[in-house]
Amino acid sequence: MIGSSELRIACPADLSLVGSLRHALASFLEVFGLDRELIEDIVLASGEVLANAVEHGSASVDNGRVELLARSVGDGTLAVEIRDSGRFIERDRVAGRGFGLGIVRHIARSVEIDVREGTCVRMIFDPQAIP
Amino acid sequence: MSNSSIEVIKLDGELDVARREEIRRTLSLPAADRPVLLDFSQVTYADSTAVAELLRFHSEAGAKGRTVAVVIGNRQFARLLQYAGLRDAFAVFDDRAAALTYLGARGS
Repeated sequence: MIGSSELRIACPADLSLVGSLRHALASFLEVFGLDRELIEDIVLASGEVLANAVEHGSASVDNGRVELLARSVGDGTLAVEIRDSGRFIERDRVAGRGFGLGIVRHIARSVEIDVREGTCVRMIFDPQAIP
Repeated sequence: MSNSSIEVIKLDGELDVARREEIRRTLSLPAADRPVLLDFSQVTYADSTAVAELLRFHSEAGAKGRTVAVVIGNRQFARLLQYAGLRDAFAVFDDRAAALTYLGARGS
């Protein structure tokens, strides 16, 4: 059973901070008592989106920022949103990169990409359904 | 097969986008025409950056007829390859001894 809780971090779009954001998310997820493999998978998917946000989104904008929001949803799922101030570029379509978004879609129950204002990637994870 | 007859390339810690250039530099094909052991036994996290660089290295090695064995001790890294659809793309081993046996049987 996942209780009500939320993690929100906003920081400069800096590649050196991506690891710290992943670690913070992992610590947040541990509170829910999920097993190690589930936490690793959610962190992996979120890490891929964070890397994309920093490298290809906010990095193209002066003083770019990234925001990570993770919260439990009433139906027992977990929602992770990652916002950045830049333009979304699907790394899978960049020669020599690949794989990132495919991995995310493999792990998350759903992935929505909103590009109306900067980029916001919303992922829903179902702890009962993660492969 | 003695370790002196193979090339060992080792990376450890968290292999993510922040270390892309280091990963790329480290995963460069050695000049000597020997089998290569990629030792990722001390890697604690890997993302698609590592996958892309591993795939590039493996492709370059294959084009030159070099045998490559990959040691992956971390289950997260192993699942990452599975999620990327690359579970069978590389000769992956849980430990170094098994990888060395494989390289010894295959030669260069």
